[in-house]
Amino acid sequence: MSDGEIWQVIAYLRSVEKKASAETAGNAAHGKELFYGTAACGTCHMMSGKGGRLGPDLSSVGGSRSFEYLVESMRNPSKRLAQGISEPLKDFSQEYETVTVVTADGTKLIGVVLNEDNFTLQMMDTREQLRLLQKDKLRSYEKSRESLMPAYDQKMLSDKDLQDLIAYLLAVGAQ
Amino acid sequence: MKRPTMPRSAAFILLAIVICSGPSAHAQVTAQRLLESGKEPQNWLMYSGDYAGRRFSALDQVNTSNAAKLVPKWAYQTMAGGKFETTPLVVDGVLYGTGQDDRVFALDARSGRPIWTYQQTLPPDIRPCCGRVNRGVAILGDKVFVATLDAHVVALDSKTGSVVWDVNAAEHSKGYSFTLAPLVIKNLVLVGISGGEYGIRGFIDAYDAATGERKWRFHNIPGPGEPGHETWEGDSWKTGGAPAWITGTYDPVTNTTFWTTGNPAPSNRGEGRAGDNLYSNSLLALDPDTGKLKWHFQFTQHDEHDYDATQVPVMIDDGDRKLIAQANRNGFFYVIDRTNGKLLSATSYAKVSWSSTKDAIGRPVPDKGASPTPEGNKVCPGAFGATNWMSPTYDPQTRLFYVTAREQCDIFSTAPQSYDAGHAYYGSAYFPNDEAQPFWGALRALDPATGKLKWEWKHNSPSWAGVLSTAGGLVFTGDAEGNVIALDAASGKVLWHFQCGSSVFAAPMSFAVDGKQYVAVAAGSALFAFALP
Repeated sequence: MSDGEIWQVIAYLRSVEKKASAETAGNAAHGKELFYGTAACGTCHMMSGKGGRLGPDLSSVGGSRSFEYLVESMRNPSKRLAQGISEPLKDFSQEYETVTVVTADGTKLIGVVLNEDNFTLQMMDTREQLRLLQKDKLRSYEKSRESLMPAYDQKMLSDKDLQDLIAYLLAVGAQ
Repeated sequence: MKRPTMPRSAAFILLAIVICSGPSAHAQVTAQRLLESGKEPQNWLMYSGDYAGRRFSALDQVNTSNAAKLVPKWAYQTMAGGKFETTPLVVDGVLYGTGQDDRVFALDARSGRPIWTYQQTLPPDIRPCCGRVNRGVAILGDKVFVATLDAHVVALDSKTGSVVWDVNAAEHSKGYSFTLAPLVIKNLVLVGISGGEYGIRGFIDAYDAATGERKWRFHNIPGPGEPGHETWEGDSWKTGGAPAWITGTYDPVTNTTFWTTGNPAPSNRGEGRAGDNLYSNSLLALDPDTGKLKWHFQFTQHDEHDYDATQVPVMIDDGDRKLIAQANRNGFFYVIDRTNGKLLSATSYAKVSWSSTKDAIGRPVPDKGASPTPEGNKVCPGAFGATNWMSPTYDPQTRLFYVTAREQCDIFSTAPQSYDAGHAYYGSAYFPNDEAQPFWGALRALDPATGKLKWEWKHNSPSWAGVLSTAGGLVFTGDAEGNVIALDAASGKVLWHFQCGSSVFAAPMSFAVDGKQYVAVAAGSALFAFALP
């Protein structure tokens, strides 16, 4: 493939890339209030250096994801788990899977997988503590593709509030 | 311009090796030594360890009772990015390997210290489909042979890395390249071409080891008037692919060399190349002296899913039965009578949806509904296959065949595409299907007698590492997370592992120097050697 053809492909991909647009979003200021307030998104997610660490940093998500993806991520976060660390030469990125372990001393930990191989696990528990574990030293180890993030249904987050949240993500992502 | 380099201290190192290693050090690697490689298990004289392609080491110093004590002894850094796929050779204390961008290196196998290095100067318009990779060298006499991404075959002086001869096999700008380790038989250097994604016409060549003169070429796609030509529609044979990018094997008893071929082109569009498309995705039995075809067996006829058959055809002797076993990219484990090419069994060893029936000779045949469609059609195995080029191993002690397997289905689409020399020629696009469960892989132990799974060990994610078996009752492999792993060959129990820091895209091998057994494998940009403390 020539350089010109590569750029043509990139141009095509950019042309079909679906981003959230201003027309589909709502009140960003109210979205920010929700993010750090009643919707409690900031408990687990960071925006521009402020917020929690358990979920992925959302500072740039508004600039790279479609409106539909963002809606799905809130209404049904387990459908497509967010992707975490990517390693060179590895086919797939690590996903934000939920993990529950019981350590050798009987401590039960719940959190998200930051990375793992067949022998070790790097996780963050719900208290935002990094836990670096050897699998053969654990009493039990269980992964789930049910996200730790609650599914925000209409009762938890109205369509208008959801639009406002997306407006906030979009505003930060555009920066 | 080629760049052999030799550290100033190299002469002293060479001298030291001669002194320390006794009278056999640096004896010429004769064709007879290659035939009798089993008599010198301390050396690893060819890509798969022996002509049978078993990737089995008769060394047993490292075994099931002590494998847990293995430690890294040295690492050699190529300082190059991309996939590092080499299987090094070891001859009398000297290790010869290749790296990304056609680097070649000779190391002191005890310490990993370089003796010489060489790098082919590659033109900017080479067309490697899948990484700037090289899988290794071959050796005969005082020369090592490397086949390069610009479609050259180069002979290097084994003591200095100086170029002895360099021949151009094909036009690299049209998509022809070499990625495999050559195979030496008698006085000939055999190589197979890569480029199935560029609409090449695949071939296997043999060169005089002394001079570089080409002695024969077997076209993997028959020309007009040759048997098999009728399996191509119109002029599609001219751009039909069928490369041969994995090293073959050799049966000296029948003087037959076995090579496997890759996909027809365009890889995911059968329209325009109606027919079986011989000899794509086939096992070829060739006379190594002349390149004449003795027989062939085609694994996947009229392939539309990129199911290259480029997996090492492993020779197995089972009593009086002379077999070839191959776990094919298409998901079936084939056992074939290597004296005549007759299929004995074909058993799925991974999830398969492209074929639900077999023909009169027992070959799985493609389902019509499995073809790629403009909208996309989910088919298993996926585009990377149930396995790929990573070497399997056959352990004559357990009589098991070990293969790195992948469980993934993909969406195969197709679209018209005109051939344009030197440009990718897929006729399609594919993408992972939207299954909720992630894809996975496993090391699988298969019984060639039954085709059944004996045990499996699941990888955290699909692996591209090959497999080595040893007389110590072990199998060694690697994973995408960077682990090198030793397992009990009989049970699949993990006995040892080491984190190399990056994915393993190569197969382990084993050698011994000064009575100490090593296991070596490439990972990331480094070649690691492990031994007991």
